[in-house]
Amino acid sequence: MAGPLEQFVIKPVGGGEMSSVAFTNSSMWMVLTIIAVTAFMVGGMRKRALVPGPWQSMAEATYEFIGSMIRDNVGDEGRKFFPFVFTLFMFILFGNLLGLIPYSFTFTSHIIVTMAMALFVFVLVTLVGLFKHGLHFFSFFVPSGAPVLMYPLMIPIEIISYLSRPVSLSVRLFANMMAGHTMMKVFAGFVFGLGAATFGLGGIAPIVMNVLLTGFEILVAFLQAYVFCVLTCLYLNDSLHLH
Amino acid sequence: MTDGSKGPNADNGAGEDFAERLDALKRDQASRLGGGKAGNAAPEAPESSAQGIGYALRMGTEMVASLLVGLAIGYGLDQWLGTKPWLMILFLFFGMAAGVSNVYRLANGMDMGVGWRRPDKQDE
Amino acid sequence: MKRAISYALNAVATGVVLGGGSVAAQAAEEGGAAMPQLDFSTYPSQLFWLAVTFAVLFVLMWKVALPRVGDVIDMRAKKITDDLAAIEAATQEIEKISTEIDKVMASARSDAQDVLRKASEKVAADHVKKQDKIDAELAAKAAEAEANIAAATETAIEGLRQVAEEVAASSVEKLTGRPAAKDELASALDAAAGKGG
Repeated sequence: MAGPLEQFVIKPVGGGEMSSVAFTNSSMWMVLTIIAVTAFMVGGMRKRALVPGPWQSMAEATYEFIGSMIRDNVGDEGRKFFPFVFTLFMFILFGNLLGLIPYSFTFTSHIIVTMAMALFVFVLVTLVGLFKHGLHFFSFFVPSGAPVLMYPLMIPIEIISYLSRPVSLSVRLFANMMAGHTMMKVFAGFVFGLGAATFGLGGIAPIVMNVLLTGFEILVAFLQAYVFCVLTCLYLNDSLHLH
Repeated sequence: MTDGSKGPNADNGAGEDFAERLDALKRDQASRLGGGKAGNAAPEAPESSAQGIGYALRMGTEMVASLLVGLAIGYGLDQWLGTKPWLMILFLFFGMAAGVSNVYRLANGMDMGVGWRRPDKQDE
Repeated sequence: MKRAISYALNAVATGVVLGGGSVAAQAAEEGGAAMPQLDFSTYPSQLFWLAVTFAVLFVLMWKVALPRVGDVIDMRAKKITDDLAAIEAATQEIEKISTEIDKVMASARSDAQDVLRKASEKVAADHVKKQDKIDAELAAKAAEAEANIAAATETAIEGLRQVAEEVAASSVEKLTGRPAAKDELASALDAAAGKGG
């Protein structure tokens, strides 16, 4: 019986040595994710029907979903970032969902992947702010309405608050994915553990639990992709329109 | 004679209904094309349950993330300035304060942005 | 340091997913091995493939998928706008035609009322004329009848006097045994007629 964390082990596909460009199970599911996303979007739009069928409706709905997310949170200036936010959303969402397939691999359950994405967002947002507002951008860290005497206390807090963005962004996604998958694995282990001790009867409860968990994990998959992208939009908004 | 007064306007009721529907359609289309941002304000209070869960899940990580960042900065400054462990302790508190203020802002609908103010003060 | 991070991350998992995270943390300790997420040897490969796949997906979405969706949505929006404009135009046309119809109907109605009024006036006039004619005829007939009646009465009264004279003469003869004088009879009859009416 494999441990609950063994599902997160990364190894090169077809054996071989780990190297900096080795094609691993993680890489494979990243590739499968972009294939699935592309198939979903391009396949759905292949007819370009004026009255969409179900598949085309879903493709359009995701487009509208991210479009309105940017419009509501960033405004018209956010339109430039639409392809990026859309890619981010689809990549995380499909990565999460494909990871729920048994025997698959969830690359979003690795802190380095989520951290890289979060840092990319962080750097992008900071650069956007610096380009748009120049040094005025740093007024961002000066709390409004606080007495000057409080600045030595407030400014470090604000800077920590700003720097905590990529951390909370990446840790949230990673921790949710990892915890969910670990729990499913633990309950799957109970199916055998309890089942063997009670002639199979005790295995029923953990199976039911796992079914419920799978439903919950699908919700979490959507939610985490959504939260990641909403926060990206909010950060973009901060940088574009300093408060 | 009464027959004559009906004529083309006999379906008056249906005509008004149609006009209403047409107006509604036009407004729909205008809003779809117009777009525009609802405002600079913080995101609306959580409406759907999905968004509510999203907020709840965010709160925990806000605290921990700020704490971690505070610790890391303190640790780095200690290494650099050789003041071990005082700055780390100081920044641990800063991190806690930042985490609390983040959660406070999140709960107040101001989100977790640095320098966020209350929505009514934003247009200065 | 590495171990500290490991504990911290486990703590995060605990904090985020209530209860379940602690199972995970426990399991991690039982397994003895550190979390695979902290195996730094896999980081370069993960980062490399993340960058490659994300960039490829970004370009695919940006250049291929999203323009298609945008095109279709724009096309649909244009179609709907056009249709709405066409409906607008058609509605105005209907409005125009309907006022035209109303106008025509109103004039037709007043025409019809004119015709009707004239007709009823004519009928009334005819009626009066006919009535007058009938009245005249009836009056003529009545006069004639009255004349006839008067003549007949005259004749009847004339006959009655003769009869009365004869009756009186014969009665006088039978009573007196001699013929009655004609003058006396006449004056007596006149007196009786004058008395009796």
